[in-house]
Amino acid sequence: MSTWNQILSAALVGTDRRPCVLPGEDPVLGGVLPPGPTDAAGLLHAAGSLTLAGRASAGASGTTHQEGTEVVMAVSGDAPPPERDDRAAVPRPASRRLAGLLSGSQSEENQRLVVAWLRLAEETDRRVPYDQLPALLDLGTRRRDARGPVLALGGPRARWLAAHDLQRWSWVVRASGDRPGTPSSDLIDVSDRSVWDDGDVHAKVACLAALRAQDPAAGRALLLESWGELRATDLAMLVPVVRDTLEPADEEWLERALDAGVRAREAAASLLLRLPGSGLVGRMGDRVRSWVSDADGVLQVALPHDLDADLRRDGIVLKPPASTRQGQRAWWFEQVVAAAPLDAWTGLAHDPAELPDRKIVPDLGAELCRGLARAAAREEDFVTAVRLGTDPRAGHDFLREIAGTLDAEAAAVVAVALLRSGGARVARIDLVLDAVAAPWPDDVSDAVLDYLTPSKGRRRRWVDDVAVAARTGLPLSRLDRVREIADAGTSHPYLDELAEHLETITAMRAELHAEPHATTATSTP
Amino acid sequence: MDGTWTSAQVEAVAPDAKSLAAARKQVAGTKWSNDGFGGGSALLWGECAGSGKKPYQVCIDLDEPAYKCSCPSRKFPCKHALALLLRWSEGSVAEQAEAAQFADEWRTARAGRVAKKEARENAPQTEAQKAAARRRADERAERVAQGVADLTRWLDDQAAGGIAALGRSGYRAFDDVAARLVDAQAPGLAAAVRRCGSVAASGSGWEERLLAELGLLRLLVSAAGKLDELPGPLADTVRSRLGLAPSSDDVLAGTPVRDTWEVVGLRDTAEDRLTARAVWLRGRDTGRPALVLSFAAAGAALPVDLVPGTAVDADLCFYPGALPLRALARERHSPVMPLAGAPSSVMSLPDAFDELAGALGSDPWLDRYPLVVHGTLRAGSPWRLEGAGVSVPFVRDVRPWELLAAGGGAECPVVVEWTPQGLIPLAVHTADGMVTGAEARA
Repeated sequence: MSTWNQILSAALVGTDRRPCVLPGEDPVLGGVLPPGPTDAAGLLHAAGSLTLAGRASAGASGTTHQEGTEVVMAVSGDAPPPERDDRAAVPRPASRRLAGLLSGSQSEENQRLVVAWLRLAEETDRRVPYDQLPALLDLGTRRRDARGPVLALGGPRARWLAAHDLQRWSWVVRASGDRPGTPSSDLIDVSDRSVWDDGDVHAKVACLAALRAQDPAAGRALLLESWGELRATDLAMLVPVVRDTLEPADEEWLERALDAGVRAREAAASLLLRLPGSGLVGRMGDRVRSWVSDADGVLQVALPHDLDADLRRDGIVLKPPASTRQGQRAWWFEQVVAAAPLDAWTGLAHDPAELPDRKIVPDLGAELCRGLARAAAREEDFVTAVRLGTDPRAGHDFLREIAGTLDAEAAAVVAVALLRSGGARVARIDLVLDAVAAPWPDDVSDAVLDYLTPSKGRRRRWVDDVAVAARTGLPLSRLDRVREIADAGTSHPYLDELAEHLETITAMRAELHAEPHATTATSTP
Repeated sequence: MDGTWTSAQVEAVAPDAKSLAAARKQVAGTKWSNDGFGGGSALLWGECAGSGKKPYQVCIDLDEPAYKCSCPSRKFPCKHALALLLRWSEGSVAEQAEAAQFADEWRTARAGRVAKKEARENAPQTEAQKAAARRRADERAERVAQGVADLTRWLDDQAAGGIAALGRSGYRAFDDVAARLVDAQAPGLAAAVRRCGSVAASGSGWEERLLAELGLLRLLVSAAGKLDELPGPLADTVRSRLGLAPSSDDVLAGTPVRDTWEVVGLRDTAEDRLTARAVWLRGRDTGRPALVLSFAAAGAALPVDLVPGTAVDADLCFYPGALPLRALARERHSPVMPLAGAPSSVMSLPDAFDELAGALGSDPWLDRYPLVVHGTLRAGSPWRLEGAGVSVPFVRDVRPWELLAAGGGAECPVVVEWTPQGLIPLAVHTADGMVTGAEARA
């Protein structure tokens, strides 16, 4: 036993019960304290001397005994250093602006400004300052719209950093789907089977994502090979990984996953819905046809009384979310409608979008609206999806969900249609506008500016919402027009704020395009 | 170069990040009028349009620094003062021969207050006052000696009875002892005992850490018991560890050390209701490390004259001791100069630890020390600093992601503060410039 451990064990029970004997040959105590039995004071002196010796020799020998500050000689293995990035950092004023925004409040307004900053920075051939990468990667965790710019502006260093904590920044691995051409599979060496075999579930997720991005079939083979050893909880996390690389050949194993645990089943079912013509979608269509019939123009719905094993297996969830005050059976109906193909309704209506106008017994109008809107969004019939999604019966916040499924071009078409036609009567158009790629194309900008021009009959809140969306979407070239509108009539705070916001973005752009600071220039070797 | 602050100096004076963000919105030139600096002294002033009719009047004495603003904000300095400083630091404020009237009035009123205070402090002592001062010093020495004896007994009792019990008794056992030491006017010992209390509650492995602290404390009280027999510098070190540091006037009366002092790091720590700011310096020619401490009530501004990444030619007066580390700035011979790159002397990790071993040989109770080394940061459990085949852990739960990102897995100059619990990262220097860690910003 080392001298330190002898002293420690005596100190723990006390020298009254366990006498402390100092050894004669200790390299530290020899010459400082006499060897042999000692009292409490001697014990403490010895402890203090050993502690001091340990601290003093920490950098040299690597053999301290306590305090968790031991210095080891071996240098730990770590991720290889990131590839070189030959771009210079953005100019100082721009990098200070970014730092200020990221360290300030995380309000929606501030986050939007950061995203605007990132988009402007992408127009330059510069990178972000590296020390801002942790905050930017975190922003990417919260906001999908920041992910592409963060990876592009962060370059190899961003992916290198994310590889240090794939649980916190898992989106970086999956991000290849968000932005074609951004390789992120280089984070994981897919040829190294031990990552998959020995890693925890997060490592497996990263490994599968990387492999699928390169070769979907190889990823599928890997999954099937280890199928028997994967727990249902692992499967629940692994299934969603293939979302962006889904192909018809995946149906077979996804069907098998329906027989795993509840969470794995939900994940698998949601993917099977994305496979056109999958067996699951077909079964849902059959249910619609057998449950709903036409009686003189009235829709008659015969709902099952129990959620049988087949329905459960297909991912139908027993209880509605706590936030809705639906009955259980109405909730089953909504899920089945959402999962069925629109053409399952052709026997009942020429245009499924007109179905909610019909009388329905029992009264399942809201469920029908939401279900059909989801089905339409899945089939990328976005105009129908948004039309149904804006139906008042679907609920106030439902459009948010539908807007989340829109691609940029569809969103532009839908937004213009909403603003020009029923705009005055539709809430939350901003949700659709957020899905339009910024800066907005001319037709969207024109429609928005007309909508923002003060006139009667529009709800203040709705106009405010659109003005907030315009802060990030409206091209800077429209700033003058905003000022014109703002100066034309009485003061409207939403227009002043929009103008101020666009001015800030203009200033940010000037900072980003300024001549580089002297020290940044010298930093390029 | 004139004495204009860098933006880093302005940022350092902000009470919090929110104030700084708010100040940035006030920087726009359209908001400001009647502004200027100079006017015969280090004065900065301006009027900032607010929501009311009357603009807010802002005055700043750049020497102290001291701030005045007519706005109702309780933040100090407020966003208007910060915005004015930002404008000045980027060169948007012009020098004026005469100060605006409101600024001049404030300066005159302030000068009056300062003169009165100085007159009070500099009044010559009478014989009776001197005698009373001597008597007080003797009384205090007596009480401290009693406190030392008291603590010695308590420490030996713990070792005799077993320290295992201390892990169960919680802070209470330590707080009682610490309170008696405060009464005995030995605040340094009281703080050391309270630290032991938190060590005893620090979870797995606490026994070893506590025994280490108790052992060092026992060495300290042994030394305190025979102050007269110790060499002078060591006796001074022991006195300062007891909490009997000399007054700043006495320190400033000592022999100064002139050097170009590079500010290598800064760390704020919260203590009760105070914020303590530690600024680490290293002399360019002498190679000496120095620590300048300052304190402010929580939320109030701390001095910003020493900002990492700058250097100043100055006289420093060190507190006496076997390892003079803490110092006060007496006189400056140059304005603040920005450092062009990394600090001038960057050591290998083994060399730095050799220096540290020497420092511990001089002051066994040393618990913080600045190191500027070539190293690579490594994430892990714990995070580590590696270099020249050596790998040293950071303190538990420290994860300097910004510094890791800036370093990018390559070796670069790293500034750390050594503590017995591990290293605390302060800054790294890369081609992009200096990056300070979150730990350095408290």
